[in-house]
Amino acid sequence: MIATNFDYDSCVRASEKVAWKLDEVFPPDLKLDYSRRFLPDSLTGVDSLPFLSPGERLKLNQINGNAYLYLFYFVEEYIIASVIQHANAEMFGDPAALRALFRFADEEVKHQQLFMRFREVFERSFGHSCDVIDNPQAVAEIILSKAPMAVALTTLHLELVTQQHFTEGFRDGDSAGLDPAFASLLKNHWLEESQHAKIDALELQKLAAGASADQISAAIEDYLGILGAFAGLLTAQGALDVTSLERATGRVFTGDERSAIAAAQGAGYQRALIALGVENPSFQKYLLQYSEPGLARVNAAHRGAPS
Amino acid sequence: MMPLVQERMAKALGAARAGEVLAQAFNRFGERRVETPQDMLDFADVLMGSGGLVQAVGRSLKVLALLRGALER
Repeated sequence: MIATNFDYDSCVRASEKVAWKLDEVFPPDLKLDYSRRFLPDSLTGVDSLPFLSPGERLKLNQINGNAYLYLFYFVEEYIIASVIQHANAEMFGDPAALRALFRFADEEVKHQQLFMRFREVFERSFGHSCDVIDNPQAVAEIILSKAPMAVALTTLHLELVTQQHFTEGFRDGDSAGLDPAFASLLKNHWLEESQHAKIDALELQKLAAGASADQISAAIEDYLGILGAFAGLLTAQGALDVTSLERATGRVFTGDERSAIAAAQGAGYQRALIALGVENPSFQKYLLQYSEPGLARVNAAHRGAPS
Repeated sequence: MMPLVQERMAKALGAARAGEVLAQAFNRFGERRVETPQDMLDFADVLMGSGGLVQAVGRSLKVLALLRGALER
């Protein structure tokens, strides 16, 4: 059993302290400031595209910010279904766990509404439509067909990623010049996700406690399969961003430029959403506790080395 | 896994009624014991045949069993 300094009760208490209302964080008539970046440079691939003008970089950053939030909307589709399952399993069980899980699910639905509210404002005011990958429901169905431990590991990975984005991109001082509304949205999202990561860790402990080495090994393979599929989706999003940038700037890129933008965007998403999660020290620590060979397998797969 | 099943039933129905319901359910379950997540899933299916609150407990136990690695047959 992993020693933790939190339990379901403390997660609920902390969640109550940081809870916010949708209309307070993002009123429907909120104005976005298009003279500023949405995302810190550390979360984008824009730096590697020297042939873009400063104005084009700014547009791409904003396209990136829109897609970034949509990707969280996208994955929260499966997370909500998964957390409801865990809550259902706790009926007539531990009331503290039940409350924490329902609160978790409620907050994730609120986050989805927040991201959709942003998207409506963005679509209305950016001036050009921006394409995003579709069908989160189908992806949720595929993810939920995997081993429950793999699903919980993926969720933990994603929850820890949001914390790391905040730490790397905001708290460490890379937030100067960002649109304050977007920065506030990200901060508020992170505040609630930090409790979700702890609840995920507690749920994983329960699943791991009764699992055999074979079950854990199968779950690790499923987790890697989910990451592989997710990487494909992020590459697809990178390609969609090129078309969105052409629409927003009126510039037609050469084939090489299109490829470079798509590659930089895809790599940026993969670093932000996959690499940072796998390499996250807390994620590595949890994985080590569940399975040392599992951790080695994940790290080898992440480095692209044969395992 | 049996203590967990007993605990959930007692919480939902009270100790006395839970004992009665479990005895009836075990009559239908046969000689098997509830030791693994797969056993718990099968036992949950028996409880779900009862309706009402017992069915609700069975449904929750079934989800719990699936999360712990049991498979639908």
